[in-house]
Amino acid sequence: MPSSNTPLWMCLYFNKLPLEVFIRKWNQETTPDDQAVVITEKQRVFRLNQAAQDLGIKPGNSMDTAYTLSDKVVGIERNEDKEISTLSHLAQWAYQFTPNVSIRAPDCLLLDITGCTNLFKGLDALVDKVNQSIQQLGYQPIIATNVTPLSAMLTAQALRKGRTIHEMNSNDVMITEAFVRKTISHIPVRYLHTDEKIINSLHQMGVHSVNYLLTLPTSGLLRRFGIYFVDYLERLLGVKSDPQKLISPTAKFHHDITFLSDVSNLESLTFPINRLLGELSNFLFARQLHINHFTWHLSHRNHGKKSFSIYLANLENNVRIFLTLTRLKLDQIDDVKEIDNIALSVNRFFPARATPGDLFQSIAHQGGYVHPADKGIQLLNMFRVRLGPDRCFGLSEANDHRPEKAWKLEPSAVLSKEPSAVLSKEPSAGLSKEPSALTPATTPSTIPVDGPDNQPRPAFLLATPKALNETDGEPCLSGKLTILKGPERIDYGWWDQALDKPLTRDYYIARQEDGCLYWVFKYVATGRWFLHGIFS
Amino acid sequence: MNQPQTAQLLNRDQPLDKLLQHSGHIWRASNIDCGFQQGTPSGYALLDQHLPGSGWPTDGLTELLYGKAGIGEFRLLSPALARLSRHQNRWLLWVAPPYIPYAPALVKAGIDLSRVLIVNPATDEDTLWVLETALASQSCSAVLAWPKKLKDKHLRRLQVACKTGHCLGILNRHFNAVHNSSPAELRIQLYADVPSPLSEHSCMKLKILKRKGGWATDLLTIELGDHLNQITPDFSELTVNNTSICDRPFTYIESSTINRHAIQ
Repeated sequence: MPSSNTPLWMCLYFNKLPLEVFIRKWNQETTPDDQAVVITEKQRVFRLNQAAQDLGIKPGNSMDTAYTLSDKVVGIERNEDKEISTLSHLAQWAYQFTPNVSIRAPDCLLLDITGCTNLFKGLDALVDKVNQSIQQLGYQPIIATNVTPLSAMLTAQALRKGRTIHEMNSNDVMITEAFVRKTISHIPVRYLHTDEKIINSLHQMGVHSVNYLLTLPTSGLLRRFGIYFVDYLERLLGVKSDPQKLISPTAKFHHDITFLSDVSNLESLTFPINRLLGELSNFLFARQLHINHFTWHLSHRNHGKKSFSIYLANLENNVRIFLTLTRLKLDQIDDVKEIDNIALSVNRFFPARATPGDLFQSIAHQGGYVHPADKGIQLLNMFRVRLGPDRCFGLSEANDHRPEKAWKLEPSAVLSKEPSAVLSKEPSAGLSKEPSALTPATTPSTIPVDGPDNQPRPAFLLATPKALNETDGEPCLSGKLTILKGPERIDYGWWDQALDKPLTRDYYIARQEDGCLYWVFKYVATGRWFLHGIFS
Repeated sequence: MNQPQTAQLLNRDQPLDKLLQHSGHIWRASNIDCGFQQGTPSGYALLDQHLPGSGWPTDGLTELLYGKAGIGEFRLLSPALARLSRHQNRWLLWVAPPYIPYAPALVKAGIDLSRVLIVNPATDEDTLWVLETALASQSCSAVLAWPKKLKDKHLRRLQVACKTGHCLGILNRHFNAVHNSSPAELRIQLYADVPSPLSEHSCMKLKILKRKGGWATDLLTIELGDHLNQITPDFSELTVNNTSICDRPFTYIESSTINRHAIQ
């Protein structure tokens, strides 16, 4: 094996990419494997799956021939844009193995794994890991490794079926050129990345294998085929350096799955959704990112596109939460009849924060490892997704003397992980004459004294004050109200209320005959009585 | 059941008394202070005496049945809610409250507002979903709900959810439901009451209809610690003299003069 300093390249050759962008071969998927699918280009069969091959269809056949052989063949027009975008997604995926990834259109990825073998505990382990992980995504590339980018690509493409090789198992350290010569010597010249003309003339010369080509003198090749071909050979052998154009990690995620047959039952989408979320999870994990919202797109070739976003209360990268929320949202969608494509996209990412776990659970019954605050956030997420973001809120006090403005909604309620700080402020409302061991004793200092901050306030406030009937200037609410406490004068706010309306109010606590307590007020100017709160 | 008589009978009949005391297999309905479960202290000594576990059930459904808001139902609960909000890092969830829970009042009652979460579902179906999810989620210390319609099977599911989520579930229902059977762990009917003029606190009456390990109680009068029953001396004459000043607020006059200056 070359020492860790020798350059080492891995090539992923997606020979079935035109097919795989439409039908990814899931391991567990239920779609019948015997569905014959052909990809057409200019009305000719371009790529085809095993089932189509079994039917006798060959690349280059016309669609008519294919349909004559079987009427169950599904023909899909080749989509090169989609192939390129898939390839760049796959390049992003490969970023988890090495920072140096290069795209070779139309169907190759080159990974510089020079320093990676130690990390992944050897080349074999690395290749296995890459292979396993990409198969889970539903692709079956041919993987080959070699010491120069071009030789890795050549090796991969010269391998026929999905057999993966990594030939670096010899222990003697060779110089790069000799190693490449050895590994590619058996490869036919038609796999070289060069002009068709050159290949043809090589064949006419009787040179069929790279082995013979490399024994020819360079000066002769230069004279015969030109500088570009020789340059190519030198880069192939590693004599000349071959810098690659590397991708940069983009902060964007968009994956989709196309269905061959229309899906009309949204519940059956759970599996593809799970798959897409798994890809998102890998993406987030490799980059140590969190997200606060993601968007699903359901589309059908005949109907429009339906998108729905799911907003999270907190930054997350937990697939299980994403799945639960997606299901909740999906239950509510009823105007989508059938779809043939589902996509997941995320545009904004946030760096993950390391959150230390709680060593001692604050509540004894909390099993597992989930912090109660996290569970609270999950609950909030579920409410938001099912009921809509505006049906769920927290409360806070506002700094205003007017009762209707002394509180406000807190749309982004979040449970803090710290325990509530003020334990000494234990409420004194409990009127235990003999304080038991459980209830803290009522200390004299906590008994309310009349003052601006100690005026009683009702637990329930009416959104708009309700006008009360009056008899002889006394307020009535299904019977006469007895005024208990008051008045407490509350002036209007001259800074944001119209000046010409006399809004100064006197507040009273009033008791109904049966004992119910209400918070009523009287406009000082008009003397009209209103109900504003209920001492629940 | 007349308890004193039974006690006398037991004293006379020594062997039976011994049997009851020494074998742990016979459970007596009168023995409600069975320490198998510690409740959340309600903050009212009299109520705690009558509740199993000396407090509100920590993981069970409680039904409060009453006619209309304003009789002190929140004041009855507030000490326990305040305690839960400060001791547990979990939500204090209000599901479809009939009015706005007033933040300053909650703060005065000692409730930590950062734990308070209010949900207003649009439909009855959503309300039930929210209730069951919240009760079973283990992330709520207490759930207060004002459900409109509840069937027996719904209540049963909610009671199970309470057990799963270790949550105090409080359903505020109309007293029409008193005669329906209910799987709730604790059912209390609340009555409004007028306190004596001598007391400075308001009060309410309640009757425990159903509790674990005990019979229904008689009417109990609970004095609420709210200092609301203070009739202010009648200053009506004073107010009459002042009305001429009150009618025309000072700021009003001043600002209108300013406006006139600005126009000139």
